[in-house]
Amino acid sequence: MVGYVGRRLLQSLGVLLGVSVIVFGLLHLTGDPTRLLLPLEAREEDVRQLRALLGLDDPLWVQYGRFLARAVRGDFGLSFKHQVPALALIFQTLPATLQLTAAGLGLALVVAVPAGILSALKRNSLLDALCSVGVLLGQAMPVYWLGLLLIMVFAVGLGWFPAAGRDGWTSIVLPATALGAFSMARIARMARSGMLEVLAQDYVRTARAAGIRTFVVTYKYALKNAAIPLVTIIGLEFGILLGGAVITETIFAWPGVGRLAVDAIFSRDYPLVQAIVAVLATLFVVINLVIDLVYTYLDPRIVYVRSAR
Amino acid sequence: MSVTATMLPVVARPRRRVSFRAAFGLGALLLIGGSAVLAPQLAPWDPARQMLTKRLRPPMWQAHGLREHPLGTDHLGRDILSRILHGGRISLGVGLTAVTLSALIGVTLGLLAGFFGGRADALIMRIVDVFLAIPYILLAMGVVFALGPSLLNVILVMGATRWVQFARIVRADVLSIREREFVAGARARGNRPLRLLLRHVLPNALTPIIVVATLELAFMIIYESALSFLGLGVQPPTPTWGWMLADGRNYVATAWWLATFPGLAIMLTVLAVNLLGDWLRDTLDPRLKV
Amino acid sequence: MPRMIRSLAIVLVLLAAAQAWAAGERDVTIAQGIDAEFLDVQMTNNIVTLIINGSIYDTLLTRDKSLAIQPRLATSYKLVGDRMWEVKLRRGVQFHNGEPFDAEAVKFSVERIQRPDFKSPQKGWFSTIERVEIVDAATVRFHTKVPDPAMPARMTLMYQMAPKYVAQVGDAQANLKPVGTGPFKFVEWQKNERIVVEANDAHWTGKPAIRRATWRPIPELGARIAALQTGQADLIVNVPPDQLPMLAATKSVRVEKIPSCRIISFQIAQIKGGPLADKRVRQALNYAVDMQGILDAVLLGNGKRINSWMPPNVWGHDPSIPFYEYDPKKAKELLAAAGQTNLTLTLQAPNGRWAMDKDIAQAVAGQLTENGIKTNVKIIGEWGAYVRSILDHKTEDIAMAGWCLPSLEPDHWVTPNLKTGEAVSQYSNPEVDKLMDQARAEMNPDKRKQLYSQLLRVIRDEAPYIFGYQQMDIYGVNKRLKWTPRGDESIRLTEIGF
Repeated sequence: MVGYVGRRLLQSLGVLLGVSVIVFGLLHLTGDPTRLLLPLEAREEDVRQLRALLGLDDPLWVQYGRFLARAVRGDFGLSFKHQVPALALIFQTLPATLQLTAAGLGLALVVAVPAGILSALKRNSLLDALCSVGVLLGQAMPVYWLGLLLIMVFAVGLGWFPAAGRDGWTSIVLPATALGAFSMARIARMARSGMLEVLAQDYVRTARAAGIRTFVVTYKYALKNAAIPLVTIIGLEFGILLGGAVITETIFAWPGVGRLAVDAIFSRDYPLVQAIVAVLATLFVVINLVIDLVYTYLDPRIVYVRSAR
Repeated sequence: MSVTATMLPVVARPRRRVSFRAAFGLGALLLIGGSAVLAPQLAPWDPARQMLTKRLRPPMWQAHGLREHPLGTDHLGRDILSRILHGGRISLGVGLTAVTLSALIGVTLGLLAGFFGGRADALIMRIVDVFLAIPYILLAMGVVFALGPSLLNVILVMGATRWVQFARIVRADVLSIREREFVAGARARGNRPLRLLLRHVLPNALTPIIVVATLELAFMIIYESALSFLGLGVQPPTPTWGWMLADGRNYVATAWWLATFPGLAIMLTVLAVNLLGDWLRDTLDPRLKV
Repeated sequence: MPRMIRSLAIVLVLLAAAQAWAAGERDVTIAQGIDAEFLDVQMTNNIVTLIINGSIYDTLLTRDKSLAIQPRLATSYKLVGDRMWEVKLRRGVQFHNGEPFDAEAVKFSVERIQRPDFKSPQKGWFSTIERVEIVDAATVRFHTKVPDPAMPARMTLMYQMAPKYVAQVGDAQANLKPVGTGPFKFVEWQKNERIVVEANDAHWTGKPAIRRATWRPIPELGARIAALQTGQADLIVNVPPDQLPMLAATKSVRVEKIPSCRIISFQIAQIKGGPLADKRVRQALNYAVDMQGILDAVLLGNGKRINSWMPPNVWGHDPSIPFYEYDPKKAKELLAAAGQTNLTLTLQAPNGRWAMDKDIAQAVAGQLTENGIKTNVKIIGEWGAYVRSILDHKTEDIAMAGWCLPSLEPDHWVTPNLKTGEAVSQYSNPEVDKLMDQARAEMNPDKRKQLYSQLLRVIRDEAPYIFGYQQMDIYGVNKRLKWTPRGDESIRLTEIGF
């Protein structure tokens, strides 16, 4: 077990290193940002001066080495655009994103898990079809369209929730709905197929045969076991939600890290982009590592599957 | 980080009838694909033709609607129906090409990882992890910025950021196929690895590839619309549905038909493809976790 | 399952942000598209950021509603020598932290920007200043490197920082907790969420009518309009003409508009050579576009044609210069004379930079094509890539271009855009260069005005642009506010009443 954990940790570090190389390389392919940080009418000498101040005169590998050496100490440098430590900006905005993602995921689970289970219990019925199509609709609507429609109906039309921004708990309802809708279909599908598998298991059939009521069987045995694959998908879903958050946050003026990231990319703010991706990737890696470990603990067979790699 | 595809033993159930959902999906898809292919014949107008005097006309069943513009006109007086028909060609074309590209990359890497195992496998799976860890929208933005926006680059981006699914599924499948008797037999007969891969392993991994490809096609269409929203999508004069929707979103309250019809086109297509994909998976390989 | 729902509810409640304060009657919320980049006003040239900072900081001079230069922290200024300006400062003014405003602060503020290690994008604004001389506590002299008639305009951009405060807390803190002499004091800044300021009742102009103002960044237009309709915001910016009917239908809301200092045209890449190097071809392009028709159809009349490369509300504009009137026949004749009857061009435009930009570009291209000049449109949606094509002098044949600088100084419209070798310029003409150099150094206002008139006339004739229009700035306003907009794209809290 200890060896397994150690190996996984080491792998995770390698993954983060890979992420940093890709992001660094990609950013520098987008060209010199200095000119874009200055006004259009700026003089050439001001451009040169700023380029030197930002350290962009050095060869690429020197810049990368400097970045890495600082990054391992948790220093991602100053944001080009905002001239404050990149990490400080992220910690200012990350809570809003985590809050939104958690709410979106929570909402998706609350809707999709019962829908998936119902589908499985009433397989091939009208209810099954309705549930599947219902959750699929959420996935079929581009999130910004759904978001704008939600604002039209529930903010402007009915006045139930604020249209944009983040004050008070009511302001999270619409963005979380728009964000969560995209994940419902996948979660419902997992819940459904997981449930179908479990229902086909001997012990469930035995329980049913023994006259234990379907309700009890469903909740006590089947659900518990069907939850295991669900846990995994949540880890992956988190990454997809972070991607969706980029757009949701823009639509709803939600002050999260996704919006910060879009701005940073548009303004070629290298240090900020690097820091955001590093933080998000670390989050993703850690969450999935934890899920893997919890999982291994729950079901030791997995270690053997893994060690085959 | 990576997820194991097979966890619990499962009894695959044979299915007896073609479900209503699959029939609906297939029917809708044929309709959409057909009208996209026949767009030049079906479209009443040149999709780029501007008629500024007829701007923002509602669909024909509403007051001020015009019979010659059944779904109305946009803010430059272009015919929405014609733009949707032509846009479908680009949207579906971009989606299909991007899926093909990502399948090519993903399947190749997945095959190599699963078949050779060991270091090759470890390396490839770490690359997979790297791509999973970077939010794909940010990755896509970076690539478009580096390459510049164009139809080809958008396809490249979508293909290059979504191959991971294929790699993971194919690898898992190959791992199990590799151990089966017929492969061992072929190996014993002295078949070379490449031949073995293509002749024996790949055909057996085809089922999940088809399922994933179907579901990914739906994702690509949504993905393209997200890129359009960020201003990085496929640019006119060849608008995709995603671009039309992103472009028309400011009119949601004032001229609803601008965004609604491309939005519905996207929705219907994605729904149809997903229903078909679900059915394919249920029928072919219910254990698949995609 | 119930446990899950319960924990979710708890999480939601725990994480929910602090309740918004009940909106007071004299509180105002203003929604713009983006957040301030800095509250260290000297670190920015971004218009939205300057608007927000303008409530916290004061400048030496300012512009009134008609954009004429007026005293602010400086009570008077005069030219002492060709290269020396003497400025008298207002006495008894204090920064929000109690520090006195004096000549020391003026010197500090200018020199801070000029410090080589200070990454200010405002360096270019004050590049002609050689040094600042303190005469006494209430008098300073600016020595310039060259005769600079634009100095008063530059002084309208000299935001005053508190020297002791900045020295004490450092640049980083000065940005996060700004201290100025302005009519409003800084309260809080939640990145991308809100900036709050409250009235500075001790301000020398008197108590502001607004008690508390919140600046909110809402990037998506639909959400911004919804925020206005629901009363979440009192004032929103950048409303496209198409949305006016809807705002008109909302009872609590009215629309305000004003012709802006921003002019938008189609820059012709003369330096590329080929057919575009021929003046007759460039003129033909102007005659081949019915600009008024396009403005009426696409912008619903919200835009005013321009006669040359200068907006009417900037000093130096000459209203007597004639417009290019739509005349397809003349266009054909000019093309025939130039031997260019079979032209194919490409026109590039951004997406979402200016109101309905790409739609106007498509309409212009459509009209050129209709009149025999086949024109394709290339939309470059990402602004960075667009800017780069201009800076690298690799634009397509025609590039949509918009321009407005907060200095409102005429030279800042012509020189960067038309002088040989300038970063943004796609044009080169020794005659125009000479006129621009003369005009920017002429200290006699009458002569200077004449030079600009002459210059703008030459530019009109040379047609380095398909001349476009002066943008209309459109705002959505809650009816409880008394406010009319300004022509310099700015919003001043002190001009808002109830």
